[in-house]
Amino acid sequence: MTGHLAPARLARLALEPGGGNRHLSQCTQCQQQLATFRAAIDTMKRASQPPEEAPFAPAKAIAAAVSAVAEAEGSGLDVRAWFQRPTAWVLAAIPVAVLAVAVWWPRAMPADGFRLISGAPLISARSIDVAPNGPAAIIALSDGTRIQGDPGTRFEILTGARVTLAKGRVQLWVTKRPSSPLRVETAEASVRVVGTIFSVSRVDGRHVTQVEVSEGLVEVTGRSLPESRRLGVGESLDVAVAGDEPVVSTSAPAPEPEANQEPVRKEPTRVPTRKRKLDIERVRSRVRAGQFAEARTLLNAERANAQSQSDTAELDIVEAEMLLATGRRDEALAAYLTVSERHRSLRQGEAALFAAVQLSLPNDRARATELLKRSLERYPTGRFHQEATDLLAALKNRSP
Amino acid sequence: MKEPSPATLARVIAGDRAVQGALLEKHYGFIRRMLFRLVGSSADLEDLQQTVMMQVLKSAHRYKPTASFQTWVGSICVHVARNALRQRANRGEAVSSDEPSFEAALVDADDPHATIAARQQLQCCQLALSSLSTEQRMAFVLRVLDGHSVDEVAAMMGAAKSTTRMRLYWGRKAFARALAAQGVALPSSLQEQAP
Repeated sequence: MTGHLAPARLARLALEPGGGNRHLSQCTQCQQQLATFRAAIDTMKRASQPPEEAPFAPAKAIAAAVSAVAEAEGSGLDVRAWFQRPTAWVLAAIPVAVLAVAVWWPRAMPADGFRLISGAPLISARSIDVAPNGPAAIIALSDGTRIQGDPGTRFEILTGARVTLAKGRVQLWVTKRPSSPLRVETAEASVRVVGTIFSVSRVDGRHVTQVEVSEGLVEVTGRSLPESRRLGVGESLDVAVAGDEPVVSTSAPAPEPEANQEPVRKEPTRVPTRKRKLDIERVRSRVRAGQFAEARTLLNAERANAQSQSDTAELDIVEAEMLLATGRRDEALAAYLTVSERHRSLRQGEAALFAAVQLSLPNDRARATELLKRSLERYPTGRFHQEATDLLAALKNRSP
Repeated sequence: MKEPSPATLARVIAGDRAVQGALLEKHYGFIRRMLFRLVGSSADLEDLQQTVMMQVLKSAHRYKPTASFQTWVGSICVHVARNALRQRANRGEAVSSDEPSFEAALVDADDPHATIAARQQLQCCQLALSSLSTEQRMAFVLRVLDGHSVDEVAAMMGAAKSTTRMRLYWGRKAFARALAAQGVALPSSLQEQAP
């Protein structure tokens, strides 16, 4: 077909009438081919008429359509049409969002609101600073959880049931909430708890976090811990980071033997350790709540049930705390010193001596210095060694 | 065709059955013809027609007079036809090329040879048309068979004018190539004249 137009070109010309072509005007064969294509397209146009209908078919079809629409509109809400409106999705999303917040809020915000029960800490936004020389602060969360911050403690109560401890020691009485357990976080460790009594302390500068459990079970995680550790009643865990080497030590605070300890009387109805601990904490909770008469009654009862020297020492400390809480500072100081001398080989003795240091610090620096020296001499590897060293250095720097 | 007045449309939206019926009656032929050309003769043509008419009444409140009412109705036809063609494709149904309704329009009682030739031409055209994509085929049918302007085709298909022009260009090209490949048979009158 050399010298003739390509069939596809001719077909295109057939589709676009009016397009002139010099060859086409001279070539009969191409004209015939073009006519063929045009005839085919005309045939298609002619054939594309819909078939005839019965005389009343259109009227019936129209009436059916009108009735169907009227019935659909009268049958109530057309869900599909409703969701085609631009505002429909927004309107539908509002109740869903409200429901989601209603479900999520109480789970995520158990510790949102808090109120001060006792003490006079400096509260800014959510950060709580307990004065080093003042009384301990007790905070109650909205879910009933109570947090006691010892003097010199700085902690923060965050949303989502989180407490962050910057320094010092917090003791917690946690209300059971399995769906969103409370979490206490320090730089070294994170302690997750469901419902228990425990304390977390952190010495600023030493980078050590100590966790002690009085009741229940807590889970401790930390950067220096290869895996999370669970602590039961009476157990404590020190999580520290010394350089790149993590230092983890676990100790169960069993009653320490004492040189001049009296022979232990074996009684058939010995109270389990967990029960005994809990009772002492009950006395403490009454003291913190300001119910001193009740605390005194419980304290006397506990004294009768004391099983060991450690129990007695703990009760003596509680009594000293009670004196401090009632404003009898000098008597409290004397009580602490008595405990420190009577139970010097126990950890309660060490704690009482350091408490006496803190009570002496504001008014009697000389005495505080002397007590600090005694503490460092008596407990060279004690819990408060670093803190005592720092305090002594600070006192020396201040002295003329 | 005379455009419906705002008052008429308001009554249609309000659910005045008489006005709704009158409006559909005006466009009944257009809807039927357009659907027939877009989807061909099929058993579900009546259903599609019913769907379009119901959709016109339901969506009357959305009509904006930026294009003619007929073009707007045409866009509903295109939408419904497109869905029907896609469903057919999903079901694996091929578009029939020898539909009896097409033949009926071509019957020439005086010249049976002409009828046969026309039927063959129609088959070739149908096959050529089936080689186009759905969008190209719709644009081609609306422009070439229905004679709508490019603007109207673009409005009906909900596409840009440039896109519509490209679809027409490639559609025509593909159609012409397919038609040429079919070797369209000459009508009897032309066959006698051929050298």
